[in-house]
Parts: sequence; structure tokens; C-alpha cells
Amino acid sequence: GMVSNWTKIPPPLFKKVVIVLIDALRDDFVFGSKGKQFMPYTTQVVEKGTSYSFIAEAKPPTVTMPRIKALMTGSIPGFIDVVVNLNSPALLDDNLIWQAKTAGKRIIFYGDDTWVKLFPKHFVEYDGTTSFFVSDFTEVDDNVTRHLDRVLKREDWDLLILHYLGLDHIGHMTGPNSPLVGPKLREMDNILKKIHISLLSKEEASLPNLLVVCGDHGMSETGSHGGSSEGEVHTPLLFISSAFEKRSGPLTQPEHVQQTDLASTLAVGLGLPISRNSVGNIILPVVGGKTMREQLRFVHLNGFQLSRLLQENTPAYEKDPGYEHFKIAEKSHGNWIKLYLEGNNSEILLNLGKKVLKQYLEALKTLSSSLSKQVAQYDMYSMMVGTVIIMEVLLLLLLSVPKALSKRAEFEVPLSPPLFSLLFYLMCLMLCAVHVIVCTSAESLCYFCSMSWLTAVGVMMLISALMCGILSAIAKIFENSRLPLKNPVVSSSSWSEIDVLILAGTIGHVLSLGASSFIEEEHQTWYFLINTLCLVLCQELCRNNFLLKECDPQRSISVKQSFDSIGETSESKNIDIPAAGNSKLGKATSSSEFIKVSDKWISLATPWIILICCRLLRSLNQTGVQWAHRPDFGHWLTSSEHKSELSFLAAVSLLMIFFLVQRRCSLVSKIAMALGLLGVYSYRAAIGNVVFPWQHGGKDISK
Amino acid sequence: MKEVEIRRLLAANLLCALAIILTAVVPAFFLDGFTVLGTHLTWLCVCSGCVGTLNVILHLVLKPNQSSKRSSFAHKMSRFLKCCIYFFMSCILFHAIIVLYGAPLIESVTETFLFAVLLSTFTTLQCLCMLGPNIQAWIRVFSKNGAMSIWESSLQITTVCSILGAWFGAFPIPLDWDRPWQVWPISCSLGATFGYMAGLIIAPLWIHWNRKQRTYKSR
Repeated sequence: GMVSNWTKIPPPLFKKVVIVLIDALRDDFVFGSKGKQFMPYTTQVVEKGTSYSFIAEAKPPTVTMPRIKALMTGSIPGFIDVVVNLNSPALLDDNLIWQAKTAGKRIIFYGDDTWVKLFPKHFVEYDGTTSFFVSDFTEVDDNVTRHLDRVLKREDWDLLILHYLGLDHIGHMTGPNSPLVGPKLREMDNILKKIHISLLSKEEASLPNLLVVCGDHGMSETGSHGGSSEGEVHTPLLFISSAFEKRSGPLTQPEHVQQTDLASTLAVGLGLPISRNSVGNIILPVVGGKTMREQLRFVHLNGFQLSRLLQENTPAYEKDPGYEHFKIAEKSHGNWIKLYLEGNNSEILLNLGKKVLKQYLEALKTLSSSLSKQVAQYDMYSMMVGTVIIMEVLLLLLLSVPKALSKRAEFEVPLSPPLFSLLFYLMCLMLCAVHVIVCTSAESLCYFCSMSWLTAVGVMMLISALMCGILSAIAKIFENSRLPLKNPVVSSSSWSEIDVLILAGTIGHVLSLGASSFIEEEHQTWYFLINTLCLVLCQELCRNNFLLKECDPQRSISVKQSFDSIGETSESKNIDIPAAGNSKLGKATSSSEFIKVSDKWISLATPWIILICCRLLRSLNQTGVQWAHRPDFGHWLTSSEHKSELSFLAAVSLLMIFFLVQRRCSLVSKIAMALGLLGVYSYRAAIGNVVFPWQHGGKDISK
Repeated sequence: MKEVEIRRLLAANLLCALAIILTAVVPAFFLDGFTVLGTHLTWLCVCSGCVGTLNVILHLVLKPNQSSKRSSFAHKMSRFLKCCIYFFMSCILFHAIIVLYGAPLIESVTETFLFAVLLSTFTTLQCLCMLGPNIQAWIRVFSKNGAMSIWESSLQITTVCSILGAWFGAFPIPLDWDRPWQVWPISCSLGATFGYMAGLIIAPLWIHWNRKQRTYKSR
């Protein structure tokens, strides 16, 4: 059928748009009891004002950078973006900000400097605040709010983006139920009130302004985010503008939409082309204040964009149900246009228009969901190749470790025999054949196939070489175990209790990483295992030192031989074994002749000193998630009332470093080290962390 | 060794295990609102007391290590005082080790100390009853192949099991399940108790199963 004459992009619906993105804003902070208590202005606008409110569902990973990408491009970034979350480069995909800049809109941004890294040259004016210091939740927001009054009075911008980090930091530090959340929500409410009133006062009759309030992700029950629990994925999405009708009627629960819908909605609202990779639908009520013809135009644009994206990504796009529905709706749209252009302005036209709209909306939803499913396809072949290489290297290391840690301490990877063996060449050929088969038959994109042939052949040779190395190492181990033992009495590879404990502890630690609580509290596992190890060491030392003095001569001979072998390895172990071994020798009364009593007591006391130090470390700094808020020694020391204690401790530590190291230094090194340590202390005093003794009770040094 | 000895050991251990179960159930009739999880400190006191007295009585009655020395009253008194001092010192030592493992130093002192008392009852009290306040004898018993009678083997097994139980009982503490039994020190003390009861039951079975291989040196 006929398509409408309009070929240009429809004009913008809003003049100025302000996006207030509050990091970690969960839906119940606005719509729930906390919202009603701490955000009265927002609640009043949502319930009675000219607004539309939705609950936007974010897809995991619910971490800030992928969410900003989702909000601005409308596409669904994957988990690999979390890896580059700390060092995000510029966003090269088609996105709303780039489209706005190309269309000549002037964009001002204040907030998290992630945006500045993602969109480096797009903002006319910006002020990025760093998001790294989680313990600060007032300054990060004040740095944004200080610009607000000034910028709201100005006329020279079209899009203002504000990103507030305070709530996220509060969530991480103290959780969603802490008493700090309420005042922060009130602060955000005041800011929204200020912006809304300013937008209303500066509004022109031609085009209204729009205020968008959203969150990038929510907050779990412990205040963290990143996963896919309910609290983390549900965020509020508010559109406030005088273009909408006042809400009337009973209060309803806000509808659920996808977070990716915001990009296409704002694109249509600002009169920009919808981003190419967007998978979202436009949220119709927001752009729907216009005539039926315009509404149909908007949804047709969105459907056209989605179907073109589907075409690019799926070879069999014509069979997709969403595509079929879209084509049917397009045909009905054509019919409607024909009737409209004939001047038929009756009820039938209106009802037909509504039907066409409904068809379009269903088609859009189906298209969105089939596109979203596609994104979750994994590049299995490249992943398998990578996994195989890692597993081979791991196996090779495991096979070589016993020899490396034994008393001969050799690390030998048998490489030359494999390279000349038939197996190696056969494996190379086979792997290259597999590679060719997979790459020529792969439908979807494959990273490994896109590498040059030379690199691929090199990788195949690496895999074959590693495999041959592993096989020859295993063959060597079997050979060695078949040789008769030369020294059956002394088996230098027998496992003592401590070896078993260390192995069991390492395996237990790895297994514990399967539970998220144990990952968050991993330091507890470490402390626990170190304590156990020290206690086992202690009891072994006690037993060796205090054992009964009678022992039969046969045992003493074997003990002497084992003492000789232990003596050679005593440099690699930090335990004072010679003292213990000596006491095992047959002569009871002369045990004290072999060892100094002080050595024995030092060796007995060492594990306890380590235990006490670990206990001090534990209370020096509380980390983890569950008990991070408990007061610790570190907080006590760095608070401003205890500066003198901190200064004393710092001075004593620096002096101890000097005394422990100065024994092995020449005079010049000693003087240099002393001056260096003095410099460290002076620097700390200059920036105000510690005080010199003569400043005790004096004024603060200005930074 | 005779079957009779093993049967006696089994009977004594089962009696101890029964006593522990009774301490969890019986005081609910005498005290209002007594539960193992709710009024845990009370239960710790009751359990330690019962197990301690039962062990002392059992060993006075059964007298497995016949010390036929005639000793004067003063000697007996001094031995008794020494036992008390050793028990108290072991409580303090266990308390110190638990604090080094991460228990808070200033808060929850009562809970930590009562847990230490429980652990001492399960381990040190048994050693004191059986071997007397003689550290050399303890070290000998706990070295490899140092057990000289089935009572000493049983002692080894129950001590190791109760300490292992307490150690494993610390595992649920970092989990965020918010259960009532994750409060300090419930999971560890319950772990120690279950370990002790398991040791009591396993010891006679283990000795019976291994009786062909075990040869005890005569004293």
C-alpha cells in the first residue's frame, strides 16, 4: 500500500530536556513508602501532576557503565563491559548524545565522569566528578548541584544531563535501610522541585520542556548491585512535562517498561533519528499527545528501525513473527493513510487508527524481544579455543609443580621432543581442518575466525605443542614411579600433616568461591586458614620440642637421616626445624647441648606472634560487605581527635624500619635512609595526617 | 583387649551422649522459655556442668587406669587443686585462641568465655579425669600410636572430633542467611557438641573395627 508523504524526521516535541539520573535509585525509593515519606514533591507530581511514571527494568550486569550505554544507545551491552568498567573508552556505537550533537543540540553535563569518558567531545560544557571514593556522598552531589542554579537561568542549552552518585555511595557503605538514605532522597526531591519549577517558569508556548528522572540500576538488600535480583533491576522512570495531561482518576501501579526504551523515546521526543542498534520501543504516552497521524508516524519509525536491525542480524528475518506483524501493521497503516487523505474524518477513521496503533505496538514488542534474545548469543568457538589453551597451561604447570617445589627445585618443560614427534604434526593438521570447517560454516560472527590465517595457524600450533608437552610430562612421571626407590627409608615426598592441611585449605578456598557470601567475605576465609595453619604449626613445634626423651635406636637412625634431608631444605622453610630435629636425636640429656634454649623459645613463640598480628590486622580495617560498617581501629586512628596517637604510631613504625634494616647498610646508605624516612614523616605532617611533637595542640596546617 | 572393655566404653559414651540430649530437653520443664537457640548461654552452662559432672562420676566409678598408689589426703587435695587450675587455664587458653580467630575482644566476652568453657569440658576435663594433671602424659597420648588403652584411644577420638566440630561450625558465620543459629557463638558451640557426640559414638565402633590391628603396649 501507499506510504505517507512525510519523509523527513518529525520535528521535536520538546524544547529543553533535563535528564536527572540518580545512581542506584530503586523503584521503591520513589513509589514505595520511602518515596512517600522523603520525596513529597515527586510523589505529588506522580500522583496528581502532568507526568507519566513507569518502572524501567534494567538487564544485568547492573553496573553503571553498561547501564549508561543501554540508556543512551538502546542496545543491551554484555558482561564484557564490566571488565572495562574501570577504564571506559569512548562509545563508538550510534547513540542519542552523538545524534543530538550532530543535529546541533547543545548538551551540558554535570556528574559522574564516566559520561565524560564515554562521550569525550560531545558536551558543550561539563564537570565530571570521580566515582571512585565510595565513602563520600555529600561532595559528589554538591559538585553537581553547585552548577544548577546558574545553568537553569541560562538559555543556551537544549539538553542537560545530571548524574548524582550520592545515593549509590550510601547504598554501598551502609545499605538501603540506613538512616542516611532518607535525607539523601529529600535532597534529590528538592533538586527535582527546583528544576521542575525553573522549567515551568521558562516555558514557551510553542514547545514544552521535559524532565526525565531515572536510575541506572537499583540496589540489592545489602546495598550493592551488579546482579539480577529484583531490587537491582527495577528502577523508576518519570517523565514530567506540561505537554502531558494532568493525571486524574484512581492511583495505579506504574507500568513496567524496559530500560532500553528510553533511547528511542527521547530520540523521537527531541526530533532525532533513533539509534541504529536500539532494541527498545518508544513509550507511547510520552510522545502521544499529538494527532493520530503523528503517533502512527512515530511507531512506524520505530518499527522500521527495529526491522532494519533485525534484517542486519538475522539471515532468516522474514520468518520472524515480529517482522511479519510489522509488515501487516504497515499495510493497515497504508490503508488508514489512504482513508485519511480522502478527507474521511469520522469515528471509523479514529477506531481504525487505534487498531493500527495496537497492531504496531504488538509488532514492536515482538521485534524487541527477538532482538534482545539475539544479543545473548555467545561465540562458542572462540571461547572453547581460549578455554583449551588455559586448561593446557594449567595442567602443564600442575604437572611441573611437584618437581619445582621439591628439593631439586627444577622446572622443566619438555619441549623439544614433542616438536619433532609425529603426534604434533598430526594434531596441527587436525586442528587446522577443524578450524576451516567451523569458520566456513559459521553463521554468526566469530572472533577467532576473523583473525588472520597466520595467527590462527600459530594458535593451533601452540595448542598442539602444549598437548604434546603435557603427554610427555605424564609419560615421564609414569617412568619415574616405576623405577625402584633407592632410598626407601627416607621418602622426601611424603606428606606431612601441614602439607595435607595446606592442600586441603587451598582446595577449600577455591571451593568456597562458589558462594557469593564467601566471595564478599573472602578475607575471613584467609584469616581463618592462616590461623589454622599457625595453630597446627604451633602444636607440631610443641610436640617436637617437648616429646618424651626415650626413643628406640632404630627410630633415632631414621630420624637422623630425615634430619639430614630436612636440614638441606631448611632454607626453603621458615620454621626452625633444625632445633626441633636436634631434640629428636637419641640422647636425652644432651638435647640441650645441641640447641640454644632461646632459639627453642623463639621458634615456639613465632606462630603466636603471627596470630596476634593477624588479629590486630583484622581489627585494623573492616572490609567485606556484612561487617564493613563496624568501627575499626583504622577509623579510630584516622579520626581527627586521635592525631597524636597516629603520629606516635607512625613515628615508631618508621624508627623500627630504620633499626631493622640499618644493620646491613653502609654509613652512606644509613644516612640516606634516615633522611628518606624523615621525609616521609614530614610529607605526612605537611598534608595534615600527622603532627610534629611541637605542634601538639596547635592549629591545623593548611594543605 | 577384651570385648568387655569395649562394651563398657560404649555404655559410658552412650550415657554421655544421652546426657547432652537431656540437657537440651529437660531444662525446658524447669525454666520458662528455655530453648537451645534462644537462651543459649544458659544451655551452655547447663551442658558444661552436666557433662563435666557426669564425666567425673564415670571416671571415679569405673576407674579405668588403676592407680593403686595409696596417696594421702594432702596429695589428693593438691592433685585436685592442680586439676582445677589446669582446667581454668585451658578455658583461658581456648578463649585466647577464639579471640585470635576473630571473636571480638571487648564485646560478647561472656559468650566467648562460655564457649571456651564448653570446649574445655569436652577436651581438657576428659584428659584430666583420665590421665590426671600430667602434661607429659597428655602429650604422649596425643602423639601417634601413643594410646595405651582403649580409653585413651576414645579420648583421642572424642577430643579431635569436638575440636573439628567447633572448627567446621565456624563456616556458616559469613553467610548472609540471617538465621538465628548464625549468631555468635551458637554455630560453633553446636558444631563442637555435635562433634563430641559423634566422637562418642564413633570411638567404640572404630576401636571394635580395628581391634585386630591394634596392639597396645603393656604399661
